[in-house]
Amino acid sequence: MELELRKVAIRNIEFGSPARIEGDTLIADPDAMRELILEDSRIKDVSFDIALPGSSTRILPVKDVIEPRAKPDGETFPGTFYEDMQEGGEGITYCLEGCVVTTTGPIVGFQEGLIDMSGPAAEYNVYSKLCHLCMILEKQDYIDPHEHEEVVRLAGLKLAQNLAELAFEVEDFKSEVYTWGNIGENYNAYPDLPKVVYVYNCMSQGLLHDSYFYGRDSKVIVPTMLTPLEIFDGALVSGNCVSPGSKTTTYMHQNNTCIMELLKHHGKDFNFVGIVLCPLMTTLKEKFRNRMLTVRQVKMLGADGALISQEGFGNPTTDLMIVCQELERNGIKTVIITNEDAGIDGMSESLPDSVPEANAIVTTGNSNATLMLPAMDKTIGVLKDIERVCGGTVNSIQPDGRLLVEIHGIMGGHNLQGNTLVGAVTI
Amino acid sequence: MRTEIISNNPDIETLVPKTFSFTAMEGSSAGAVLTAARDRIHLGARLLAHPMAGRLRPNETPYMTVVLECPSAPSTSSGNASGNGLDLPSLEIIEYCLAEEEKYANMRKKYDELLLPDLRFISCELFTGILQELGIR
Repeated sequence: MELELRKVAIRNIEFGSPARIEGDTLIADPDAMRELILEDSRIKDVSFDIALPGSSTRILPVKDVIEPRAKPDGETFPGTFYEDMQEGGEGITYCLEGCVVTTTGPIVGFQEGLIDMSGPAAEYNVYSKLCHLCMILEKQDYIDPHEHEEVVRLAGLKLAQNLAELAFEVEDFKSEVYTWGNIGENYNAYPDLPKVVYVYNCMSQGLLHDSYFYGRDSKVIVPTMLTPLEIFDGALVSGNCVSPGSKTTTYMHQNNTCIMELLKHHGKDFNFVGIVLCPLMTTLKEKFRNRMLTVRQVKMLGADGALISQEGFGNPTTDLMIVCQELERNGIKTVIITNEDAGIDGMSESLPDSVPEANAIVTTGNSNATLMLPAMDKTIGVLKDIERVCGGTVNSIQPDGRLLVEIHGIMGGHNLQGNTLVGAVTI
Repeated sequence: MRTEIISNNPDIETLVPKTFSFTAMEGSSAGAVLTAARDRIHLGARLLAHPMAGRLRPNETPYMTVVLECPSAPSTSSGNASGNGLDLPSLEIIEYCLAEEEKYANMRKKYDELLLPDLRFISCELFTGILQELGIR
């Protein structure tokens, strides 16, 4: 299996017609985009806006962030739009690097987060360094919250794929070629190096708490093996707005930092032999079933070590811990990634579940720590929603226009794949 | 054995299957719901779903629903009702949840009237998801 990512660098977005890419500027045609999005009759109206890095702009509330990707000979986000889906991870995929489609607007009113393009919040997440084409959707009145989530999710993916098709004409791109063998080839590739498997947890709990794998709600799958290449092609997309700080957006799936880092060290420090996708469910029976099936697959891949990334906090922490425990009991050295909820002062118990075997934990920070954010010149969305969303309170908006929020309220502020701008560095 | 739902969300009751028992705790705090569940665990009940499943962080919503499997004849002697021992994993989880509630006790939000119906709605949606996982449609 071989996938070539052709990355076209985008450093600016402007509105204009016709839609095209000029140098590193994406020129987006509002009328054409509007026509495309309104093909879905469940959408009453749509508008677009632009947020650029360094500008005094705040986007709130953010539902999803998607990197535009498209394939000249197939589809990205396979399983989303067509019944006859292709397996992701083969051929050529064009990516608009540095640019994202960002969907905004409240759905059930509370879980989405904020992105600041400058100021202290911009130092936390990678989104502040990207050019955002924001899409604000208004649904038809008869659409219920379930369908509303679907409408927004599909519209975001559709626009992202459509914009990336503009890159097919661009000749100036950075090429990255990734290959992936079958289980036997991978196992035998580096006999002297320890074998490492990545356990990829994904939120699977219900409305606004779901992920989609080849278009299928991840609640109705059992743990399954993946290739890194299909993840790059959007086989897994976000359908959730779980606490924004720890949220895995579709962008985070497409650019999963755990996978990127594992590939970087593959063949040098260890042999990266596979990924097991583990849905994070609600009942204890499902948790124990998924633990058994996940650990079995990691063992079948012949792993000496495992890395587990997390999504969400609280209930999923139990999945994280019991899988870690079982892997360790099977002699597979395991590292887990999680954030902490240690209270505003950092003095409280920081994890809602733990096991003695979880002896190698990478933290992405204390989500309860608060930040005072300056007023921004422009808000895309509704500033007052900060009073309702995660990380904000009714007292968030200060009389002088500043905002007091927990890091938890910043989209990707402590992303649980480690894709943040904050971290400890050995010097 | 019987399944018992304890909830302070008044909208949950209509979703509870007839074969389950339901304890309404409308007006009580999430911590009080967890404490009631903890007491039942000491009497031999076990958790069927993680109480924090799909729930926002403790200070993000006032609603809490716990799904328990209880021995049919609860006894007052700790952990030995009808021959059922104390389910330690359930006790550990519920104690963690109670600790989380306490941690957030000083970080409470004021819930405005516009938000509460949304929070009740999502709580019902996630409860429906739990029922589906338990094989009840």
